[in-house]
Amino acid sequence: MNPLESGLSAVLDPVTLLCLMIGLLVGTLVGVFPGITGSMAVALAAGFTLTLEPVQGLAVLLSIYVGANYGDRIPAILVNTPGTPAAIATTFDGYPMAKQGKAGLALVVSALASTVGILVSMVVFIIAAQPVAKLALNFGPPEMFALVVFGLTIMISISSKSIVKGVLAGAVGLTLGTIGRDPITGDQRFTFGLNDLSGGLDFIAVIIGLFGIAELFDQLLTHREQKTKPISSLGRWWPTKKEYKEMGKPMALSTGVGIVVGIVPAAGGDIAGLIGWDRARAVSKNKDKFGKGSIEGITAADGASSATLGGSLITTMALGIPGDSVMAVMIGSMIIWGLQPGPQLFTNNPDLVVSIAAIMIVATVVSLGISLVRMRGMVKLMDLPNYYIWSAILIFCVVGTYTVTNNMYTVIVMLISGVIGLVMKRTGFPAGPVVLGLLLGPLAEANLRRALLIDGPTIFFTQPISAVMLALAAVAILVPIIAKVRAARRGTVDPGSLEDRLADRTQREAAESKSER
Amino acid sequence: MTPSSSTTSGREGEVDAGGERPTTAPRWPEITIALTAVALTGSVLLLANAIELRLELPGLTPRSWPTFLGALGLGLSLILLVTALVKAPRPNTDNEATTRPGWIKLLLAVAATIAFIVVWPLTAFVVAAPVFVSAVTAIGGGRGIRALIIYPVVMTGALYAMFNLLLRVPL
Repeated sequence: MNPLESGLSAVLDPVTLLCLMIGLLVGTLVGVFPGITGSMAVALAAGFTLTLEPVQGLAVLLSIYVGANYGDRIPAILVNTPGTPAAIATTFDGYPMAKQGKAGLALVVSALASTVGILVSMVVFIIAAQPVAKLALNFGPPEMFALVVFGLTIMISISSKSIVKGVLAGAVGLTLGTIGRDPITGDQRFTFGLNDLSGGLDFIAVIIGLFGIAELFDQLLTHREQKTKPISSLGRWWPTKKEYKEMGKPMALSTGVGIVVGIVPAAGGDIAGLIGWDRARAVSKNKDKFGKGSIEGITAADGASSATLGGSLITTMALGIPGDSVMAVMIGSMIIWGLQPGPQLFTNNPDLVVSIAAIMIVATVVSLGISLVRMRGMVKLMDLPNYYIWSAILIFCVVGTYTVTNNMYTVIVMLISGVIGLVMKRTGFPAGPVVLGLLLGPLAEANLRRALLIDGPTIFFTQPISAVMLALAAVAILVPIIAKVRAARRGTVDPGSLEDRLADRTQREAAESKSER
Repeated sequence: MTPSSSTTSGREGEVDAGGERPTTAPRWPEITIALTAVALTGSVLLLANAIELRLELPGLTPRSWPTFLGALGLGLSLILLVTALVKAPRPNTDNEATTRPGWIKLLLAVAATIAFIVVWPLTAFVVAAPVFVSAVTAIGGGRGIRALIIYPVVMTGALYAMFNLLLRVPL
């Protein structure tokens, strides 16, 4: 069998399809409950999927990724609360549409835009991933080291309000990655004589702690009873011909935006949705309708945020650098299965790459079907009390982590990571760079040492690819610093992270649009 | 989400009786964070220098990368400390304000998890898990037979069936 046949037949296996359906169901539920993010769900599911075959496990994880991308639009439209950060921009026009009695239409437009966004981005993945991987196959140690530095700095510049805290978080992640045996000499580092530490910190335990437990603890700490009744009058479902026509231009624009944002390491659907909405508004003839229940607005927001999925997969699978936080978790699981995402994956496991693309496409089509079935049951689920969700998350975190090694030590690592993650969250240290540092630290160190041993320090600046990536990394760090200095000189408010700035600006503009009525 | 008026506290970061966020921020939290970071990264630097090498190799040794990271972390922590001492602090608007019941829930949830980690190996999953789920549900505010008995038993049964029967992972 050639890789195409082999990859497709693995996906069409009944067990894989069952895994895909379970993942979609879980992902949609995750999206529906505000506060549970896709990365949290994938981190949790990672513990459960490690005993499965890689394709079956990937079917669960990828379909959670896709399902959450559909489910999170439901609360965004019906209660004005995004199910995950990727649906922030959906609220701008989705909720006003729902208030106008067009909730059903908003849900269908959102589902159609998401489907087109994902499918087009998957076409780009299928076309572009292999050439990118081929190019990356030529990367030597200096380029690989520069790539890791680039990925880390982009994540820091995007997610951190304070660059110093972001870089410090990245350094902590890289330091955690040094725990255990040295990758070249086998010397013990930071193990304190403990046998459990000689293999390094368990990645899955740390990410479940940082993304799952920390988020849960934060919810416990800050929860207040709030009851926003979901809008129950859904109205008509299907767009008219004119409305389909209106969707065309923002769809094309936002899909392009989403794919590009998705390719940028660490940038996800939240940023893409905000940029997509903003750009579609800028070029629209009906600017004044944006923020008041515009079909163009919801199309742009959801098309862009969904199109990041394919772009993110390109960066993750072809380069081995996570395209977003969900992909960081995915890389961790793949490493445990003995698969190293990156250019070698296309040479060593081409059938798996085919399977990944097929899983994404099948999951998207099935999700569209689920979305178009009138999901009154899903809407009712939003009334489920939080204590059920909290206790379920906690037991899933503990049991899922335990099953990774069948050792209580791993659970202790997870709990400590969760408490540290909570402290980080409350004190302004982003968790993303820690995870990325832990994940890519050994790769960075090994390539740095090889490059210095073979060619000396000048090699990083004489090789064009590594020089460009290191220069871009420096720009990624310097630009926010310069913006802060300028803001301080002007006496204006600290601009914050890219996410904060985009969210602030677009939310302000959406609110201004509404008040102009 | 907006803070409600359900809690009262004068502590930093918690909402006041009127549900308003504090307008001024004290200096001590950032100084404490910076001092902790200095202590931790300083320890990393010291421990990195103490890594035992079995053989000396040319180029970077197993000590070099952790030492660099420790030094980088210490440098950044000192910048944080200087900034915390010199710059006027701003109120934290990124996080939702904590509540006193929230702190109690959090501490109880951590205690319940630690107890579960200790008790599970001593008893059996099917014994410890329903008690744990029931305790966490109660901590979260769940009351009644459905929340505290039926739900924990069903959840434990589902997990047990999934791992022991489907995934063949003994709990």
